Amino acid sequence: MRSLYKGIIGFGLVSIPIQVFKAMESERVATHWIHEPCHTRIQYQKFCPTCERAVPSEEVVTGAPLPDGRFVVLPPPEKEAATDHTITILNFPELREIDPVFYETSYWLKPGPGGQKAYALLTQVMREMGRVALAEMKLRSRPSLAVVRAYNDSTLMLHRMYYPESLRQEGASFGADLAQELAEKEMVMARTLVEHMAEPFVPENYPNEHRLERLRQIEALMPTAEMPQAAPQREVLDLMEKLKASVQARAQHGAGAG
Amino acid sequence: MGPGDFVPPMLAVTAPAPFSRPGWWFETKWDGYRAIISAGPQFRIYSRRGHDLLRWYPALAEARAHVPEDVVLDAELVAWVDGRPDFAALQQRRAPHYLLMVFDCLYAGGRWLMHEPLEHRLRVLHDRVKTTGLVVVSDGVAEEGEAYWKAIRDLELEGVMAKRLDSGYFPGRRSPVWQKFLALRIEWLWVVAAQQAQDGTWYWHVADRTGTRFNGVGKVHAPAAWYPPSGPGGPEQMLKPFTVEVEYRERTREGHLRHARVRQWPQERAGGILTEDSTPGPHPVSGCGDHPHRGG
Repeated sequence: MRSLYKGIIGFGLVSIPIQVFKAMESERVATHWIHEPCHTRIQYQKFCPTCERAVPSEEVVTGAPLPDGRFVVLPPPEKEAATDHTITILNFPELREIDPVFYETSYWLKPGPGGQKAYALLTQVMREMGRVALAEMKLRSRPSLAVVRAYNDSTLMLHRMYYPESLRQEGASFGADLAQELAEKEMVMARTLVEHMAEPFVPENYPNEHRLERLRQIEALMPTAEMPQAAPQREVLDLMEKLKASVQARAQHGAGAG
Repeated sequence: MGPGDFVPPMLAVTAPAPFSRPGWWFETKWDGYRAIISAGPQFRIYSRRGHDLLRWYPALAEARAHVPEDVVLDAELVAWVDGRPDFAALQQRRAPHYLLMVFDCLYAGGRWLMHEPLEHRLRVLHDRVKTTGLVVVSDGVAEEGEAYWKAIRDLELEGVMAKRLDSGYFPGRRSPVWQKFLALRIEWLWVVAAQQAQDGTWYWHVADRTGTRFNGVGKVHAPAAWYPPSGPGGPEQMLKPFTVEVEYRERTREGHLRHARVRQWPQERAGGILTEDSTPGPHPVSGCGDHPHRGG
C-alpha cells in the first residue's frame, strides 16, 4: 500500500504528522481498452477539432464556460507544498449527528515520525468520549470537509466529505404527503416483517459476487493471453505487407514490367 | 534425433538472375544469422554450424514462450534497428531488439516433416506458429519472383529466397531447389583513407586491390565507434589499409559503389594494424569457428 501524501493534523496547538492511505480497494477488476489486432493498450490523445490535430499538453489550459459561449481561461493551479496537506480540526461532534450522505472516500491515517504519542492520545480520547473530529482538509489542492475518527482502539480513519451545500435538496421531499394514507394495520404488518428480518451487519456475509465471477472468467481465459505487439514486430509486419502490396501492384500493371 | 537436437540448415545456390516461375515460392532473404529453433525437452536455438545462439544472444530466451512445444523451425535471427534489419548491430550484439524470422517447419505433431513438400511445411508452420513476441512468421508470394525481387530492392533489403514448393528439406545441403537472388552485393574491400565530414563524423575511402595497387571505389560512413589512429591528424588521413565487409546495391560502369554501407569491420584492429599482406576475408571475429555464420 502506497501512501497518497504526508500531512499534518492540526489539533489546537498540537500538530500530528501523518501519512494518508486510500482505505478502499477499487471494486472494479482492472480492465483496459485494447486494440484487438495487436493487443496494444489504447492511448488517448487530446484532439482539437478546429486545428484538426492532436495537441501537446503545453497548449492545453483550463477554461470555465460562460453562458454566452465564451471561456474564461483560469490560471494554472499553484504547486502545492507538503505543508499544504493539512487537516485542521474544527470541532468534535458525535458520529451519529453526521448523515452518511456526506461521506465520499475513506482513508487510513498512519502516524508519521514524532507523531505517535499525539496520534495515540487523539485516538484514545475520541473513542472514550464517543466523539469524532470534524475537519477541513486539503487533498490534491482541493479543499473539503472530513471526519477523523477512531476506527478501532489504535487507528484513525479519515472520511472525506462533500460540502453540505452539494446535496440536492429537492430530493428530500420526494416522499412527502404519503404518510397520512397509511392504515395502522399495514403499519403493524410492516413492523412485524422488519422485526423478523432484523439482523446485525456482518461484513463477511456480503462478498462481491460479481467481482469474483469476473476474476474466475479472467483466470479461465488465462491460456489465451497474448503479449502486446512490440514496435519492431509492428514494423516487420508492415514491411512484409508493403512487399506484398508492391508485388500485387506490379502484377496488376502487367507481369514482369517495371 | 528429435526436437531439441540440431539440424544443419539447408542452403541455397545463387541464381544467375532473378526469375518468376510457377510452382516456386519467393520470400525475403532476411539479413542476419541462420537460426534453427529446436523446442524439445530442451529449448535450443542453434547457429548454422550448430553453436548455441542463446549464449550469444541471451535475449532470445524469451522466444521460448512464443514457440509451441515439440517443433523444429528454420529461421533467420535479425537485429532490428529503426524499422529494418541491421547486420552490423547483430554482429556487435548491440541491437535494441532482435527478431526470429521463422520460415520453415521441420518437425511438428510428433514427426519430422523434411520429406514433405515445402507447400505442406509452410501450411504446418502457419498453423502452428503465430507472430508474437520476437517470433515473426515470415511471409512470401508464389510465382512472382521478379516482382518480389524488385520490391525487395526498392526497400533495400538483402535479397530473395526462391524455393520449389514441391521440394523436401535437405539438411546441410546446398541444393538448386533453393536459390537466392541478392539485391545487395556483399564484398570484403580495403579501407585506405579516412575523411572527416563537417558534422564530425568520419567517412572511409574503400578500394579494390589488384596485386599491390589499390583502386578507390567509393566512400562509406565509418562506424560511429571508429576513431582515427592517434598521431598527427587532420580531416583527411591516409590509413594503413585494412579490410571491411561492405554491402552495396550495385557498381557504376566505372566500378564505383552505389548505396554502400559497412557490414563488419575489425574493431579491435581499427587504424590499420592489419598488414597489407593479409588477404581480404572474414575478419578474425566472425571467421572463428565459434561465431555464428550468416544465413543463406
